[in-house]
Amino acid sequence: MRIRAVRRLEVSKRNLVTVRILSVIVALLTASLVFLAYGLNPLEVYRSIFLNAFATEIGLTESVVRMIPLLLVSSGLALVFRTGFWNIGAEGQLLAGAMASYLLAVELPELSPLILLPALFAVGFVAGAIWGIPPAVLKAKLNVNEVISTLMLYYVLYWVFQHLIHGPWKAREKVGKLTYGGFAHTEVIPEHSQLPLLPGTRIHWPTLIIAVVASVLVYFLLTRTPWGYEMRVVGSNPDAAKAAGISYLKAVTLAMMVSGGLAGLAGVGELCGIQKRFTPEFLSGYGFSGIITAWLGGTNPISLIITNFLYGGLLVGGEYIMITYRLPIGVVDMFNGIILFFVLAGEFFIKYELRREK
Amino acid sequence: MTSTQWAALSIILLLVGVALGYLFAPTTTVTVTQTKTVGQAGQAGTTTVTVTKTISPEGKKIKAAFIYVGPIGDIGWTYAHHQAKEMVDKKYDWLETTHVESVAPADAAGVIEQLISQGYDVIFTTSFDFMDPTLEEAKKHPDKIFWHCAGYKRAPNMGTYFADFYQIYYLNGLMAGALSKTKKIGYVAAHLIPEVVRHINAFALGVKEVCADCKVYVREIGAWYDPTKARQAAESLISEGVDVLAFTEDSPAVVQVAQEHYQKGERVLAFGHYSPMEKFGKDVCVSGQLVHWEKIYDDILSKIYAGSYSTDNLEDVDYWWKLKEGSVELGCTFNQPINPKFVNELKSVKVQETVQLPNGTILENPDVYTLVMARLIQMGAIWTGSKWIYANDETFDPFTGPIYDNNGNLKVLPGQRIGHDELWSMQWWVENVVGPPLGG
Repeated sequence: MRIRAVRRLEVSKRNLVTVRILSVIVALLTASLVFLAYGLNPLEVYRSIFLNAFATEIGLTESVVRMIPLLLVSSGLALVFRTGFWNIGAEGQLLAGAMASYLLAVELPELSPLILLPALFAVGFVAGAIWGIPPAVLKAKLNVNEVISTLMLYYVLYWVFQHLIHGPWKAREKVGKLTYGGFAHTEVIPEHSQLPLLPGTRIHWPTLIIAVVASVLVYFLLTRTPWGYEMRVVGSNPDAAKAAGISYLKAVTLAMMVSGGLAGLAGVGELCGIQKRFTPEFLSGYGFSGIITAWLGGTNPISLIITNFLYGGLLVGGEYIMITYRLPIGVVDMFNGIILFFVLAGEFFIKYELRREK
Repeated sequence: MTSTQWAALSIILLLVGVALGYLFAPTTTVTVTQTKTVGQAGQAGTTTVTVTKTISPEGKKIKAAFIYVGPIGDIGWTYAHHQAKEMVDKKYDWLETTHVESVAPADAAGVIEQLISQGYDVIFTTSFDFMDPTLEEAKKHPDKIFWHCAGYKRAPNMGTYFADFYQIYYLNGLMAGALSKTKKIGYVAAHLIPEVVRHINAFALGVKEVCADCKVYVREIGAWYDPTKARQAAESLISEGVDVLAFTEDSPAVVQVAQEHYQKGERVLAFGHYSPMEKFGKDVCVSGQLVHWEKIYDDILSKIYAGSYSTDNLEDVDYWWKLKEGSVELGCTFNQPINPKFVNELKSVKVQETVQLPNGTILENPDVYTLVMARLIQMGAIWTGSKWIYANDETFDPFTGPIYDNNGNLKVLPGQRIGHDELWSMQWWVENVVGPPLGG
């Protein structure tokens, strides 16, 4: 007797919900072992993580702060993944957007925010989009593997960035009577270039609105426009697309421009809304985490927003575990990893069923 | 893969969570106003003092939180802060501490918010890159106390602190100059920020004092923690003839490289950095730099407990502690300033100079071992042979002129010392350093 995975012809909604609930439960049960090993009551730990991340003001707003870049990145990635193109370099596109907005932010005089803020986001989008184009063209023309090219372009930009903040972009900062130079960070962007925050929180609301709108527009682009139709055909059946005269180059390049551009917007939000200056540790991995949330959330905006919000909550909850239970970062990463592993593995059982054969 | 069910489920879970949250909400602390009548010694009459404070049922307690940039297991920077925190935590029963490791600068403010919402009232942020978020949070929470390590921004409720190694690097330089046969000494640097430049220069001044024609070759690796790059940089320096290595990087990689060469029959020596690294290079680790953050944490927290530090008087409080405060220590392992294997060799090298100790004793042309011990005394840390004793004065500083930069310009006039502010933004090399150009 052996077991064979057979693709389900139809995914029933009941299955979908059952599998997802089950995978979360199994994940929590597995992670319990880790907490038990540390002499903690897992139920108590889960209760406090949940309460802290989603039922306190700080937890909620911090989860939203983490959701903003994740939502932008994953909306774009969900789109480009539908064309069958694996953009692994969103972190680089995010950085491109942040760097472009920095150059504009330190140069621009004090203008009306109605002009300034859109300009910052516009250059961020364009820079991210430009950084996304070469892998698309290389794949379409020379069949260069996009997993490699997108990732490598991230590294290229990362080291250019490191060079700039250790050299030409180094700040001289005046504090009181003294000027401090030589430190590996850039100027703080002028106040008028900083994004407004919801009072009392770190939520830079312009980026939040843009992120939500973007996730809806991506859905609309994919399902209601001829370009979206072409992208879907290219993704599901490249041969058929070719036979129908759909240009692979055009479809994939457009998708990559949107994906890179949205990641670029996330970079603008991180720089102008959160960090306000570059340090060597500017990047915190949203470009990579967005791959997971795009995979889980798909292209439906509601499901994307919720997935990213929950993922943000997971990050905030991880900090909470460290603060309250003084657990090492390894346990926190393991906890996050176990949850993601089971949730992703659950997707398999939604698409396939196991059959016993004699 | 899209589904409204997924959405509905999550919303339900969320609502359940919120409901649970209100159900199990933690009890709040009590705010009391005490009116005390205090009699003053030797004075007629009394003063009435009204104190309003928030107390927990157990009595006065301080809840302090530490934010680390790296993982505790780095055996370097974060590890040293954590060890110090644990020591102080154990020492005082009025102190409760927690910590968060591997925090990115982007998340620092969010972590501080979480800590404050959980009742922590003293926050230590232990990395330069946390400077702006710490200041932002300090302004947002004027009733909490903040301490930032290694930065230059302060506020009424935010002080700064740092344990500086430059005197130790100078002492290491004296030994390096005596022990190098090739007259080429290597330095593996993390980032060439003023702190590291200052340390390399102090090291090079020590080298020059003992060996006028020795040069210090610098390699920058662009990371605080990167054992692979540190190893490559060390190997590349050795292949160019370097036989003594010092470094700034949070792993023992450079010491390990030296030990490997030693075992292949090639003498390469090293100075440990930050934590005891003797076990990684028992035949090659001459001395090194060790830190005692607990001295600073102890002082700060005791003063907060005693009430001398509060939320309105930290604007000018900057701990810049060195040898005489005991916050840094010379050695590749604790309580052993120089590896005994190298003592005889150091005693065989004489230096042509006169040194005057604080008690008036004059040393003519001392050997390097005696010179190191004399300089320690002059900088306020006396090694008795079994333990350290501290004196509260410094009669010597490595950065005393004349000092030339490596383009031949006289940077410090004879007899003058470089002050704190200039050391804190140092962007030039002393004359015997061969290093990459530094931007002003």
